[in-house]
Amino acid sequence: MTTDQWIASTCGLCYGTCSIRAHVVDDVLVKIEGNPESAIGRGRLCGKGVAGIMTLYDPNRVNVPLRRTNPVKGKGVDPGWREISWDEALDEVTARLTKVHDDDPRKLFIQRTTTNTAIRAPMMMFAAAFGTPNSWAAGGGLHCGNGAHLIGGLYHASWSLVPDFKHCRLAIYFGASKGHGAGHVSCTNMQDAADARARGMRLVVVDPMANFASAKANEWVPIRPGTDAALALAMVDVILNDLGVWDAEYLAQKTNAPYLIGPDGCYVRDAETGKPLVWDAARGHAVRYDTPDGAALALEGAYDVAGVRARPAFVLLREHVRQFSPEWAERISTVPAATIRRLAREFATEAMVGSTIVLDGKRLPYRPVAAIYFRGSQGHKNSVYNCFAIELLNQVVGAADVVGGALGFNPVCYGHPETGKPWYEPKSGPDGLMITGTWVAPHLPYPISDPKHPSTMSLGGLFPLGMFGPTMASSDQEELWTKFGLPYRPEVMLNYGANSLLSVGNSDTVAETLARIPFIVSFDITLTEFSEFADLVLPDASYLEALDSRPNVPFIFNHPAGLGAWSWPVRQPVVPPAGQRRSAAEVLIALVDRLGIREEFNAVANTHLKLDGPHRLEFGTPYRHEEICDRELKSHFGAARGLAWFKEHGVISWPKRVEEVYWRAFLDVRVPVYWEFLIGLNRKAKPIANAAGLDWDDAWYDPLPRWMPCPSHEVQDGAFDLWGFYYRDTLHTNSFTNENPWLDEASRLDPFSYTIALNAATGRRKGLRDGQPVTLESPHGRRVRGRVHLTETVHPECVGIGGCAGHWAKTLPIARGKGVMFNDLLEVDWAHGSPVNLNLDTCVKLRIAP
Amino acid sequence: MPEIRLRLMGPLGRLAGERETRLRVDEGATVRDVLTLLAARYGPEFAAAIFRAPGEVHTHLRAFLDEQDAELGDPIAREGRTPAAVAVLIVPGFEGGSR
Repeated sequence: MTTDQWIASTCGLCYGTCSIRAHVVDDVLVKIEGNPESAIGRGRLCGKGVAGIMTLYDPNRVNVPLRRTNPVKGKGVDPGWREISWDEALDEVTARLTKVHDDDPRKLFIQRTTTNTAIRAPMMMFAAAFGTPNSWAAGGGLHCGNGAHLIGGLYHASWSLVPDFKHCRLAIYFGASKGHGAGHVSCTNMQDAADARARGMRLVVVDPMANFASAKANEWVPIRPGTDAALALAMVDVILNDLGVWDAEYLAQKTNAPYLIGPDGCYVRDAETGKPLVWDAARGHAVRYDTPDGAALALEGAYDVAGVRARPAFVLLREHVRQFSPEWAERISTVPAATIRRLAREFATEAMVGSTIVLDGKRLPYRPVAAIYFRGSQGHKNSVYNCFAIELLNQVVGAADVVGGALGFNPVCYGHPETGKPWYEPKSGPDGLMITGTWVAPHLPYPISDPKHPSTMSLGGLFPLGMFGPTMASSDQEELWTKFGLPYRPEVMLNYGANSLLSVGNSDTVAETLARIPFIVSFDITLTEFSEFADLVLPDASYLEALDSRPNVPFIFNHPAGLGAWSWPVRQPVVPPAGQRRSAAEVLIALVDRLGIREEFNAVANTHLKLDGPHRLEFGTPYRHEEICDRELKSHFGAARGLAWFKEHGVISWPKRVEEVYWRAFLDVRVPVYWEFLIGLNRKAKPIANAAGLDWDDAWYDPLPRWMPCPSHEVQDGAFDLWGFYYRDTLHTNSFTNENPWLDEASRLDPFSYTIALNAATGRRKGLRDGQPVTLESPHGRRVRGRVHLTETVHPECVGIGGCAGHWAKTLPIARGKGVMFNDLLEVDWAHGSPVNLNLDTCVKLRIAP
Repeated sequence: MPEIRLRLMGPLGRLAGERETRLRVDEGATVRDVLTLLAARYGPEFAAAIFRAPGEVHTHLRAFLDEQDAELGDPIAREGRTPAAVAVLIVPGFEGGSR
């Protein structure tokens, strides 16, 4: 008898994690569609999601645990796999981990992918219980978030931001593709962006390449890579100093713009409480920033306070940006000065400063403009100032988390109407600046910890603004670890699904760092280039074979912004795992018991998953993964809505409230337009760095942003006359989907996916033909080969490459030899990392030759 | 002066050199008081793992009294009650948010 069913679950082919419905006939998955019952996708699904069926049924899946027999590790070296039992595999992993745990838990290095977010919670809980701080996302953060997510957190209490698609009138994207590409809630954003354009929202995209967002925009503004701060600062100068436009009420009440700054650049503080002072024009004297009825806080002027001459931070900001004229910015960014002035004027005019709108009976500020930044502007050594400068555009006109403006997603949630959970909101922290209500990185964006002598592989303690650091896989990691006296080295790596050979930087450097790790265990669904360095490969269940009670990392990471619905979906197996595949989450829990760290793990789970009341885990009791998922759902949605309810219904939804979406008007928190905390941070970090022999440049720690050159901007050899960058191809997610045959076919039909995009005029000048094989070479002698595609859609000084293709593993027969591995051109070392947030620079000077 | 049982979880146990210990505390001592005592007992590296800056506890630090979440100001030993067992843990990458 035929069985025919549709099962609600969640996609796992990118971190967008759209809700899906899987059509299963006789235990065979035959189709995947979007789930219209969920706000996450709203029934839409991209080509990757539809193609997931081919990943599930990939004939090259790993089905049994594999043990390496060849002790030699290297790129292209056959590990000599031998099939072993799960018991044998877990015995060996337990023995290795027990030794490390007894010796020094920091010797465990945990690596995970950003492609599949389901493992994030189990891996982080395992790491915390085990006691290792050495965990990263294999290039995640270094490329895509050490800056953008930091600024998103500081200003929006959010991981990232989008325009308020329903109300925005002008959005300027700086190296972003929200609503046009993959990633965070991509399918919902695509519809919202299309609806916004149909409604009349203008979209301007600043990017070296006119691809996914630019091609659909009203205007593409080509820019030299890594120079976004120059453009944004010049726009701020025009808005503040030429046009004289700013939102005084917003700046006075919601930022530190009125805080008085002394001659030393620091806040002038109240002698009794230490709180920053502001000048109250009505009272005619300085008061603490949080003094009630402080409605007349001065943004201009100079005052004698506490024995010093002090000025509001806003005065310093206005003076500071005067040096960044449009003509200056044109020389750096190549964006014409006239264009900069026009964009600034349009942004300031469309902001409609002072206007209001009534929503749900509440009168709210209406600022229908948004400056949006992401991977393009942030993937640089200067990511902090790039994103800081762009964010100032939103801040000076008050277009942050108000109707029509730049919205963080989703910093405030007051929970399901029946339970009031999940619940979180930002609050006021030290010096009145905002602390996020919830977060997903290793530490909050604010308050900022005192820098300390680093004791982690990433050197993170010295750089408290960063999330992850390049020294996890850099060419100079041993030199830097020795300088700082790191008292251990990684002995075991636990990898989940990451292919760091392709995702970090040049593969030779990464390979050298991996080869030094004595024992590597990897959860994988197929063998990849990374597997060549693994000692054990454990066959993982795919996202269509596994259970997860929180597939969207709710709601700060991946949930639609703006008004609409909240949705909490689950992921559940649509078919049982074939072969001996096991869910990594279940395997980690098995290891917890074998290692004797159950009390720690259960304590972490209670905290991390917000388990509540009778659903909390007792420290000493063993639980299966499924039980923990059930308890998490019941903690949030009541005893009647546990895993069984969610397996049947797939998702729970309820309406968002105006106070949750446009929270800025309702909460008394401030954000920093002047980063006074950088002064103290620099004073404390610099001596630690200098004592270890590390070069230090104070310019990276100024409280106000400036454009800082990337290493590529300082290359003197004229032979290297092109800037190379990579972009995220919407057809693929990281290096993971290149093996999917449907997506490979789409890529072969696409003129850009597997080619090197070069400006047509530039190409002709160099005598190159469309489709011609070429070599790209960096000043460090790194080379990649590929076919050139001549196009009008890339900046004349640039080459753009879809990342991360260029696989070479024989175990990936579809992906092998397709496309170009851009990351092979990138240096991974201190010189190419940010000395303020550890971001890696991802633009590189190149020369091209047949 | 009541004595409490203390469990130092994850990296805190390594930093302290012991995962379980006992500690005498004043009547009415709070979780914050215990953390301060621990920082003094185990030295600067341990203290840096507890305190973000002088007097300010890291946001990713969690304390439990008899397995239940505890706030920094919660008393751990009050007259007439059995002192609670205290567990202290660092939870990086947490998702906070509660009333």
